[in-house]
Amino acid sequence: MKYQALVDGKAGEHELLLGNEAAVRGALEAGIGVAASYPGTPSSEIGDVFSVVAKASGVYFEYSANEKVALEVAAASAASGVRSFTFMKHVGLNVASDSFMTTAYIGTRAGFVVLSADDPSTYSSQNEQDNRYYARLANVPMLEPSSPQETKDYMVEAYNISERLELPVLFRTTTRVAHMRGDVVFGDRRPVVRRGVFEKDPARYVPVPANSSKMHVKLLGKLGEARHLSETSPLNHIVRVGVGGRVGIVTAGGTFNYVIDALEELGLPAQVFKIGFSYPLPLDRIRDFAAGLNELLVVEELEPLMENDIKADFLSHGTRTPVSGKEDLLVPRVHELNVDIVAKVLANHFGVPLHVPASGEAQPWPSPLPSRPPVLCAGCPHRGSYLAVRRAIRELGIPEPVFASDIGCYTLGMAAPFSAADYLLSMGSSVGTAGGFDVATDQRVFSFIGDSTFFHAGLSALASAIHNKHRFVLTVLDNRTTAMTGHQPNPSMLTDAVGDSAPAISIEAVAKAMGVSFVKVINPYRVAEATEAYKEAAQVDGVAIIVSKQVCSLLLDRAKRAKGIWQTFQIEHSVCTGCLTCVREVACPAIFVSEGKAEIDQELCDGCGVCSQVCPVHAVGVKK
Amino acid sequence: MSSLNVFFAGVGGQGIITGASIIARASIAAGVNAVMSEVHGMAQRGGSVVCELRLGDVHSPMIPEGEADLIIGFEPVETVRSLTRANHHTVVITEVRPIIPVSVSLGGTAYPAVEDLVAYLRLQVAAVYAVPAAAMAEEIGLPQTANVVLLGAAMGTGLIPLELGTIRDTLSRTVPAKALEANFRALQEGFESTRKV
Repeated sequence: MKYQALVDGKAGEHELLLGNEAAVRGALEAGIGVAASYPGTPSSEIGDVFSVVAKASGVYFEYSANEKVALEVAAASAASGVRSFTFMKHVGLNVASDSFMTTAYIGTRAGFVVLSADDPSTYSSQNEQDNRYYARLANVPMLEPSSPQETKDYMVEAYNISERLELPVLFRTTTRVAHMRGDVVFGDRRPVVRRGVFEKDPARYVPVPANSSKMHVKLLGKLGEARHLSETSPLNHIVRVGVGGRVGIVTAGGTFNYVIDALEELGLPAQVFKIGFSYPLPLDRIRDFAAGLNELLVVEELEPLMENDIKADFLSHGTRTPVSGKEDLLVPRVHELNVDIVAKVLANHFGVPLHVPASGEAQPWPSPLPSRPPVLCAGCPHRGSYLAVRRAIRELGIPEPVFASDIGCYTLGMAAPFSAADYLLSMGSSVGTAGGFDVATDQRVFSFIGDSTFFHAGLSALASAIHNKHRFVLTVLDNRTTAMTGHQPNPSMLTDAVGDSAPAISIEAVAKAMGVSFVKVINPYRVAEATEAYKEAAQVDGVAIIVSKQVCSLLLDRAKRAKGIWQTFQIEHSVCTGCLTCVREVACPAIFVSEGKAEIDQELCDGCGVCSQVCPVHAVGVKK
Repeated sequence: MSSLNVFFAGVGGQGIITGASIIARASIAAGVNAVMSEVHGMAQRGGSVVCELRLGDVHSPMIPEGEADLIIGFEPVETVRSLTRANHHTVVITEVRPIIPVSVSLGGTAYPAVEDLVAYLRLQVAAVYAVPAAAMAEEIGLPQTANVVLLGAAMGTGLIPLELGTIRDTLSRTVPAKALEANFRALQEGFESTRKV
């Protein structure tokens, strides 16, 4: 079994692990019994690993329909005495936040850890919000590791803190920690407690107004205890770089790595206060630390949270050591930091020269290189859906249609030639915003949502649209998986998170049951039929639903290869007129132009045949 | 700070992370610390992908600008794109077979001639090894071993402080048994292609 070492690795053994893999080992060492999640980069590999190891570890694992449900499953498990874990990307915590806020009020019995994987620089997200605010908003303790080893170790500590305080612990990573790979030394695995008993206690668990006002008082008391734990925690410690440093630097998470490397690169001595238990901050210790120093620098990614807390604390205690960070030190407030940025900040502040390679840096290619943004894969069924909707719109002469898009691979349909993503907010927003465009304009609206996203946040929006008589064409791009995050299952599939058979919910049956009068299932590889379906759907006065059903080409390719069935298409050079309709309309990565005519890269072609259906002279055929 | 910085660049799906992980595992097995930074998610769908590997006494898994000792490029344009991490002492290994981005077919910036890209690399860095890894892997009979050909080529430069045998050991622990022979051949042929005589 892949990841076997995570299950049966003994204390003292070590393994090269991704941060996300280390989080799983940490959870297993803490003896969790229940884990629940909705996939989202940069947290997705945690679920991928649980899918493989959960059964062998004696842990229950599920992909819930969305992050809020996942958090609720974990919270109730923890209230029943079972250590529980829920993990999500940063914006997933927005979805889960309604229940998350209340878990702080009602607290927990067994350890309950909520992992938020933030994405500074928005590598795979719609924003780079700083979820450290959530610890402050909910008044819960927060830990931030810097490496895979710390991710593993801090998970164990997070459960101890959670049980000690009877509070959920927010465990915050970032892309560069979640996707950092390094050596991890294992500890012992605590035995799994898979089932507990829920002991009723309405005064504790039911936040009706009479109870909740008292809960808030209790929560603030716990936060005071959390502060005490932070003051004494070994996760907060001082690292000395060089000798005789009279400058202090407070830093946390992945940024700690950049600070250490930058100081060494510049040859600057300093004392670094590494914060691992980052909310509440150990302000007494930071004040003591600063007392003997010339100045204190706060180097943190995104928002000036530690900086503001420290400045406010120093002000109220009359601590005179100057503190600088975002504004005075020019630490950027946007995007992720790295060694180069931190070295520039420090070199500038201390007036020392930046280290440059002795031989001089290489010069980049003097003109722009061809760009290579992510694209829909060769054979991606979304291409057929977008092609068909574009053709239907053209044939019906619909002026200025609006495309309300959603979160998934299909957002890549934003690019030419489809230009099929005009507006996007969040998971499920295609349905709600489609209604908004219908209500507020005379433009026709076409919206797109994935199968997993449909169950995540599309259902309630669809009920609302139907009831309020909105008019738009909603395409459910049903590729039988959650593709973008690495092919996790969703409620429309016949298997669950750990590979057991599961009841599949039919999207078309759900839509019909909700009262949608026009529901049509299409195969996006059949361009003409799909186009006709869209022309019909566009006439419907109300919500029309097209379920575009075709398995993700990456999965289909795997299945075809395993069965030894493989076909590709090729272009007959003597027939091709060089009109390049295929290039312009299909924009497949397997089609390229050579000497004015289209050709198909046989390595990349996946045999979907969509290009053969748009060629006006029938030059494309199955390769013999 | 003593470290060896190896920068991998290519296109999603080329086995870049797997290749880098093999060196990292072998390095840790040999008692040398290794940290990596990987790209997952959105960027994988046929887009440019990089992976950063640092061996030795460092904290950050990301290589500072101009500080790569070795660049392993899995695609010519992606190799040239990674010059921001290179200095004049950097050694570059590059695959020569281009993967033409859709942007080129749709009338964007033209794809430069591969000879020009390689010639430019030679002007900028200490040494350039142009390795037809994809073609060599096809010759071996397992196209998926192109990444291991490039690993072998990296080992042939002598820059990576590991024995070829350690890489072989790591391969035998990570590659399915039926593909092992082809992987060994890929490693060896890549090694021969750059080894200084």
